[in-house]
Amino acid sequence: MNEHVTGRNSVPGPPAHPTTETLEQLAEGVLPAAEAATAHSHVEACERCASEVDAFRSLFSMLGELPRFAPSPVFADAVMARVQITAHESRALALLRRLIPTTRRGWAFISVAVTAPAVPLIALVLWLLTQPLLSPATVTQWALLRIQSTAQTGSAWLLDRAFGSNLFGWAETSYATIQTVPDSALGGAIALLAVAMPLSVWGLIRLTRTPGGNVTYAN
Amino acid sequence: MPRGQRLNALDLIHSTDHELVTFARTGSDKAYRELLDRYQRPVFSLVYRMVRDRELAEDLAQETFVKVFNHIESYNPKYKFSSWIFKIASNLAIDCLRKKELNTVSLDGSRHARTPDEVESSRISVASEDENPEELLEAKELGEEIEGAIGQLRAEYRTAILLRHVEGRPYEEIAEIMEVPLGTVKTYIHRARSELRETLAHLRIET
Repeated sequence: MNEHVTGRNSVPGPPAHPTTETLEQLAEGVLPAAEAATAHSHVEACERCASEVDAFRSLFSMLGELPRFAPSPVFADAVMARVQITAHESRALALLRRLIPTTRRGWAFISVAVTAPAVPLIALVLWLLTQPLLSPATVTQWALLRIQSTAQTGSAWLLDRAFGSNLFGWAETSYATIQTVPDSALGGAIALLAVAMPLSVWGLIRLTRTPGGNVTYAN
Repeated sequence: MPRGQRLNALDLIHSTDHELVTFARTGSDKAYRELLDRYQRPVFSLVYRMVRDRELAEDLAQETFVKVFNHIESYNPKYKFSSWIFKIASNLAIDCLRKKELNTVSLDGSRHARTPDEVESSRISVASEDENPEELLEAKELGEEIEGAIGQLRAEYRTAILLRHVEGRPYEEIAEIMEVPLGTVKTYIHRARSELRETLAHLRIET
C-alpha cells in the first residue's frame, strides 16, 4: 500500500506513476480535469495505481457511511431553555421605536410638541383666508412666485460661487493651454488615456478580487 | 407579536439558513427551533466523535447552540451559518480535549474511563437497526473499528476528516471553520487518511 512515496519523491518503478496525492485526488474527484484525464489513463493501464485508487475509494466509502448521532430527546428543549429570545431590530427601526411614547405623560408631551407649532400656523392661514382681498387662488399664486424667486436667487448664488472658485480659474487656464498644443500631440495623449484607463480599471478589479491574508491555494 | 411568529412550518423548512437567522433575529422561536433541527445531529456527531463521551458531547453541543443563538445578532452573513456553528463546536471540543488531555482514545473507549459504565458510555456504538443480527454484529464491529481509528487521530486531523467525509464540507469551508490556510487543511486531511489507511489496512479486502 505504501509503495508510492508521498510528496514530490519519485515512486519505485516506471517514472510515469502519479504521486499518492494525485491518486488520492483522483479517487476523491477533486483533481483538475486535464490532470484527471492523464491520471485516469495511467490508472487504467497500471494495476498498482488502480489498487491504490481503489484503496482510497474504499476508505472514503467507509467514512462516508458513518452515521450521524442523535443527541438525547430533551436536547432541543434544554438548549431553548437557555436561549434569550429577543427581537433584534435594525437601528432605524429601534430609533423610531424609541420615539414612540410608552407612558401617558409621554403621549401628552409628544401631542404638545406636534400641535404647538401647528396651531398658530393653521390660525394664520385661516385668518388670511377670511380677509376680503385673499382667496385660495391668490395665496397659491403668491406661493408660486415665492418659490420661483427663491429658485432664481439660489441658482444665481451657485453660478456665482462656481465662476468665482479656483477650480473654474484652473479649468479656464487648462483649456487655454490645450488650445496651444498641436493636434497630433493631443491625439497621442487621448490615445494613451484610452489605453491606460481600461488597464487601470482592470487592475483595480483584479486587486479587489485577489484574496489577501495568509490563505494559500496550493493543490 | 414579532413578524417571525406568523411564519408557518412550511416557510421555515424551505428557508435558507440566512433567512432563518433573519427570522430568528426578529424573535421567532420557530426559526430557532428549525436551526436546531437542522444542526443538532451534525453538531452533536462532530463533538461526540471528538470527545467520545456522550454526556460531555451533549454539554458541548448544547453550549455551542446557546452561544450561537444568544449572539445571533453578531452573525456575519458573509460566511455560511454552518461554518459559524461548526467553528464554535470544534473550538469548544478542541479546548475541552486540551484541558482534559483526551485527544487520543483507545478502541475500547475513553482512557479516562474508570468504571465499566464509563468505558461503555465512551465507546462509540455504530449499528443500524434494519439489519439482521449477523449483519448487525458485522456492521457494529466494522463501525467500531473505524470509529476507533478516527479516535486515534490528532484532534485537528480528526476535525478535518470528519468535516470532509461525514459532513461533506468543501475544503474551503473547512479552512474557514478551522481558521487555518487551505493548504494546511489539505495536509491535515491527507495525513489523516494516510493514518487511517494504515490503521484500517486489514479491513480493505473485506470492504
